Amino acid sequence: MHEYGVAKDILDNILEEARKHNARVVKEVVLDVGSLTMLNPEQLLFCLQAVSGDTIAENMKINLNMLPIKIKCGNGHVSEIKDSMGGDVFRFVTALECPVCGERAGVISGRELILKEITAE
Amino acid sequence: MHDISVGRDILEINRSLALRNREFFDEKNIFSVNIMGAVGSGKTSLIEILCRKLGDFRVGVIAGDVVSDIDTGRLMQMDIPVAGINTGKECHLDAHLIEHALQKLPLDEVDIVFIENVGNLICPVDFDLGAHRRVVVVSVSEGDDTVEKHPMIFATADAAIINKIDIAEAVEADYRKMVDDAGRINPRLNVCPVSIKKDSGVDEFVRWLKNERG
Ligand SMILES: Nc1nc2c(ncn2[C@@H]2O[C@H](COP(=O)(O)OP(=O)(O)OP(=O)(O)O)[C@@H](O)[C@H]2O)c(=O)[nH]1
Ligand SMILES: [Mg+2]
Ligand SMILES: [Zn+2]
Repeated sequence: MHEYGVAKDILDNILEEARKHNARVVKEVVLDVGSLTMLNPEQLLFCLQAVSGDTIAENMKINLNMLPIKIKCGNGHVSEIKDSMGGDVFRFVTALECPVCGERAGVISGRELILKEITAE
Repeated sequence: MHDISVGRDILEINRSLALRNREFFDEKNIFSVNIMGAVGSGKTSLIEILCRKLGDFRVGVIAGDVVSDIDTGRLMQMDIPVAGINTGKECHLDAHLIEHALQKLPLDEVDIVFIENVGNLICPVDFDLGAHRRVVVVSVSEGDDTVEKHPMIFATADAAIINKIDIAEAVEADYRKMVDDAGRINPRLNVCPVSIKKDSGVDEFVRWLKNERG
């Protein structure tokens, strides 16, 4: 469970940006979480609320979007791996096979955690 | 009211620190290996046996212990430089901790650095350390479905050690299934079924390691 440490990193980044813009209150943030990270969104949300207590981000609204997994093969096909494939998502991605042509493929997105946007005043 | 567009990858912060560690290892001409794996699977035992088998190389270790210094103490008995890291409540090592630990090692006197990660098959996946190779250790006593239950760590590793095959029968685990699962998840993975205790299969892994070091 490393959501706590990650939440602290996110908060540090939020507060730093807020300071740069002379903001007094952080109203809202947008986070994009790659589906291939080992981060559990509910835990992340909970931890972020916990660590932001007593800061100018205390009552911020947190919008958390899951980013799809994308893989690209040697022939240039980019495919999105759908979450609806359930537990098989991991197996499919890790087998690294292009669903179009069967060629070896690599992950091009899904392992990121992006602090996208902050609304502050 | 400000709308501040940031677009910063928080996990990228660790990745760029990892990259810096990698450059540092390269500068010092040190081959580094991140040893991940389940609690009690044999990570420390692996490092111990590798130290004995890699006689021509000077080995150093970074040992992540959660709160104790038991593994650090064990490894120090091998008469090699060991930098212990207490991770406290953290469930993984990160690149920043490695950067600090590196300052505690006599880097001009080592050829290979082994990093024993915290016993965990989930969290270390998200945190690259900058090591040249990633090795995951599991053992039959965790159950022969351990590999298929944790595909991501096998997908991102370079080698997998399936340890304690000497007791596979006693714990009713099919270690061949674990080997097959690992190979299916990641066809590029070097999978080694071993018994560190009986020193069986370990030489194969040593050969691979020497070869990877180049
Ligand atoms: N039967 C058997 N036992 C082994 C083998 N390898 C290691 N062990 C035993 O397994 C136990 C755990 O080994 P360690 O090397 O401490 O494992 P670890 O992964 O470093 O453990 P933590 O750091 O606590 O997560 C010890 O009692 C070892 O003697 C093996 O090949 N066969
Ligand atoms: Mg250990
Ligand atoms: Zn293709």
